[in-house]
Amino acid sequence: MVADFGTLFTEIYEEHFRSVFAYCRRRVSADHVDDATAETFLVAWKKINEMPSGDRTLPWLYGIAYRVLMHQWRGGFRRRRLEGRLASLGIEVAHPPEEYVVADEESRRVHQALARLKPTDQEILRLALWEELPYSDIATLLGIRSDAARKRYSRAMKNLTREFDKRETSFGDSALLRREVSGDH
Amino acid sequence: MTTEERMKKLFAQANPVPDPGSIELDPIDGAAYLRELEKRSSIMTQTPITTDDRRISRPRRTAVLATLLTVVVIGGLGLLIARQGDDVAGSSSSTEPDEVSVQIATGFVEAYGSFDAERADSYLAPDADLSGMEGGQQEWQAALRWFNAQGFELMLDSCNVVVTRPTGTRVRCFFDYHGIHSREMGLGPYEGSRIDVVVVDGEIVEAFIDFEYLQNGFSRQVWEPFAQWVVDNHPEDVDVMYTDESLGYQNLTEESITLWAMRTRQYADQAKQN
Repeated sequence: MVADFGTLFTEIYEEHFRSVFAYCRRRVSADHVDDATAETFLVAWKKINEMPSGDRTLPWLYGIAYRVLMHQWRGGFRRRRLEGRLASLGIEVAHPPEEYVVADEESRRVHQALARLKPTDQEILRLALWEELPYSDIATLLGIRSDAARKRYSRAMKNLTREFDKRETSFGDSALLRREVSGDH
Repeated sequence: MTTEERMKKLFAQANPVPDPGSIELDPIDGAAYLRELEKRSSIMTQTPITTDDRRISRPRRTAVLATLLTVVVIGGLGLLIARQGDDVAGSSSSTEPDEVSVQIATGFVEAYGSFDAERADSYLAPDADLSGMEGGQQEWQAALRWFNAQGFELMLDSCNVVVTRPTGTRVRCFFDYHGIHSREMGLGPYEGSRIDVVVVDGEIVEAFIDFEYLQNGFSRQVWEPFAQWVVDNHPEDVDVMYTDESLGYQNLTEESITLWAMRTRQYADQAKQN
């Protein structure tokens, strides 16, 4: 029995390690990815008798990774809420550089807008557009109904767009400031 | 105004890892991973069982590990290996004996769970980092008043040292909880949350709370139905009680806390009658 589980786990590990690693990398800084991936597979091993087969395996692993990361994130969420309040008072908060390792300023704005959303809404957007999961898998992963996942995705996208647009002016100002400082007019 | 289609494209472009295949990794060898686990732990000698995730200690990275595979293996070893590593690293005079740190952490969490801000504060260093606590650095005491107002009960399970380092001793306290008078409504308790504190020189220099609310059903059974009840019955209170449109976060103003006390009481009373 254990040997069967071992064979199964080996296959699953080799097939999905890269995807789980990427899932974690999309959500945490590089320093934490190894740990998060390791803990995900450790939990997966301990729960392997619950593991679904076929196409449902990877979403199941994502679900474990989501829970693993939640433990790491909650403190961060609260910090961001505090930062949001400080920002509303005009107080700038420095972010660790690894939080925004993104390709360009527009992507930076996307990440900033995303951080303003409710954690579950952020995750729904990531799962739908980065992991490209269908609503049914997202629903299972988050413990909600499929139609609720669809509605929440729609709401999250609207909120993201609103937050993104809000940042356009301030982004433009800061970009202009940088050009002026650097003498690049 | 950005269209939804453009927003989707922008979001896709902001994906930090658009192509998992492009990640440079060492060879992925599941069999080797399991063999290493077998050598280093008793997990392989047992039939896999469903376990409570919260008992699995967070793995630690170790600089001497040469390969990702080994990092993964070490990640699975749990608290025992982690603490052995710390023994090797040695301890500083600035850290407390483990039992003292546990006592300090326990005292703090008990005071926190009793909504006794003054007593909780007595465990804290003057410049303690509480940004990870409910309410954050500025409003953690208001958060305690809010907890008290909405029928929250914290049931401490245990406190254990996670790691001892020259920079402090980290103690993790697990707890279950009731919220929004869930006990009265015959719901809960809700498992899987924790408070972590870092103790240095007999004082807590950092604390954060990690609430589990999705997997344990609290959100679905209590938080969301109550929020919907407020929307349906007292829509004028919504903006006072919550900070966001999704009703995911509570306001911590005195006006809000007063409303939370009143509305959660009414909600629980109604629920008990139904």
